[in-house]
Amino acid sequence: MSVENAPVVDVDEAAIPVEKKMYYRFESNDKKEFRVSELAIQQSETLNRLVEAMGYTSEDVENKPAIAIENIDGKTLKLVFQWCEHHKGEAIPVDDGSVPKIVEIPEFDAKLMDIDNGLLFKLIWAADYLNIVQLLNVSCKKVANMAQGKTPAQLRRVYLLPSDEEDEAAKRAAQEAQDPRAREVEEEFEERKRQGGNSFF
Amino acid sequence: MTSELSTIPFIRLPLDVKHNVISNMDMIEFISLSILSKSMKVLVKLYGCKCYFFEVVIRQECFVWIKIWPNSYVFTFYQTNDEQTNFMNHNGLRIGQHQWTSTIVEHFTMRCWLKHLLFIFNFNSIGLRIESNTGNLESIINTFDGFKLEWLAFGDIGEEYTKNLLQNLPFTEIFAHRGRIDPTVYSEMTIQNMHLFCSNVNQGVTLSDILLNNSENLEVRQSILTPKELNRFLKLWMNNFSNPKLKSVLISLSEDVNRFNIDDFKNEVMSSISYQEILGQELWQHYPAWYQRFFQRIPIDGLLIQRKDGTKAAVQLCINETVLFHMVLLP
Repeated sequence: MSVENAPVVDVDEAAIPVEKKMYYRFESNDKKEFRVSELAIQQSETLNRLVEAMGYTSEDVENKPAIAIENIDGKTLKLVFQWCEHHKGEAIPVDDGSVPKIVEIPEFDAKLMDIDNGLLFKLIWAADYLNIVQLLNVSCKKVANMAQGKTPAQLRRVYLLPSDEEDEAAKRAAQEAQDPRAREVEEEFEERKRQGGNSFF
Repeated sequence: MTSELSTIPFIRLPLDVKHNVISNMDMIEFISLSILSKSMKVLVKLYGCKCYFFEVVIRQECFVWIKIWPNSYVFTFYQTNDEQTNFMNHNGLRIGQHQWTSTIVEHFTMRCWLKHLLFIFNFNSIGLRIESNTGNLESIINTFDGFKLEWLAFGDIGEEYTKNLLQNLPFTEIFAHRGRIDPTVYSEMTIQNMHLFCSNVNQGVTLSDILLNNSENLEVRQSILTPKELNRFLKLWMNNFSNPKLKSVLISLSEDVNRFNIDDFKNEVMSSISYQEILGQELWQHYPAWYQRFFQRIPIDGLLIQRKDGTKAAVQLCINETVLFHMVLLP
């Protein structure tokens, strides 16, 4: 039958199934669960690739266990997903190489990051791990702003930076910490030699 | 009472994050971080901020001009104590109103600062411009000893001062001067294999000086050469009697521009030389990239000549503020 001869059918538009927004479920390392929209997930390159690879349907999302993010705690993950939901649909920024980088912290982000530095530190790690470029940019900008107007000595205190002497001492301590193992290997080698074997193996 | 500073363990951040933080810092914090320890200096360097222009200028004080896309920065050396009078021994560095006075940089000298800036900005050579003869010679020589000088440019600083500097500073491939140079020293300079030799003063350069100059590119301003001598130069070049390394020559004549008209100038310079006319736009695309970057001139039409061995060159003649002769070899 040609297209011209096909029967005309009245279509009830309300009957057309509307594609549902998909919400993925994630679980932090302290077992807190979060429901995050598909669009918000696109802000994270890591999670976006993960859900793409999983190929979940709407049913899978509801029925299968939440996707575990084992190295981020609930408090941090909540901030991350709040940020992603607020910025969903926005383009991922591309670095143009200018120095210093031009990054502005929007009001929402500034409020979100009005947290203690311990949590900010975790948030940065999370943004880096989940590869959320703009969240990383604004959180790094916040850390960079902490250096503004500081003398080098103050900067050392703000960033908890060791001096050359402290770096040397830490290096020596690390070497000394390795020495017992090296000594054990040496002793074993000597023992084998005493037993008559020439080869360590 | 000391105010509490908000702290964050910067070194425990991943390397790419540390670099992201650094990329958000402005120049003052960037340098402050780099002087805190050897490891921070390396971290800042590894961030990969690269300058493309690094010039040290010596006038009544010494300053460094650095260009990093898309900005340009001027750092000035200043005196950190009242005892020091020789400005070449100034050991403090400042940018705008900010100066680094921390005990961390107490031992820094001008030389240390220059090495440090070159290191963190991933650059390895300095352009040195000396525009005053008030800087202590020995200090200048000691400060720049061992540095790779990309270019050396002298203002009108006196023959003796120029001579001392030239005899003691590292060799450079680009040299420019605006003051007269002792003729013996000048001859010694011209026989060096330079990339660019620029004389911006009435040095009394003769046709022989031009022919003996070993540089690839030669620029002579306020020359006493006549159009007839330029004609001789072209004929000698066409017969292979000039510097074989030569790639371009620019000569401005100290003639009165009102006394000349372009046709007479052209007739005298090109007398008995066969040539073809070539459009400026066409010429411009044959010029080497470095030349276009340095001169950025609006191309004018040229006259195409040919050497015995087949090498082609374009001659451009122009009269506006000065009487200008320009010859460039074409690839």
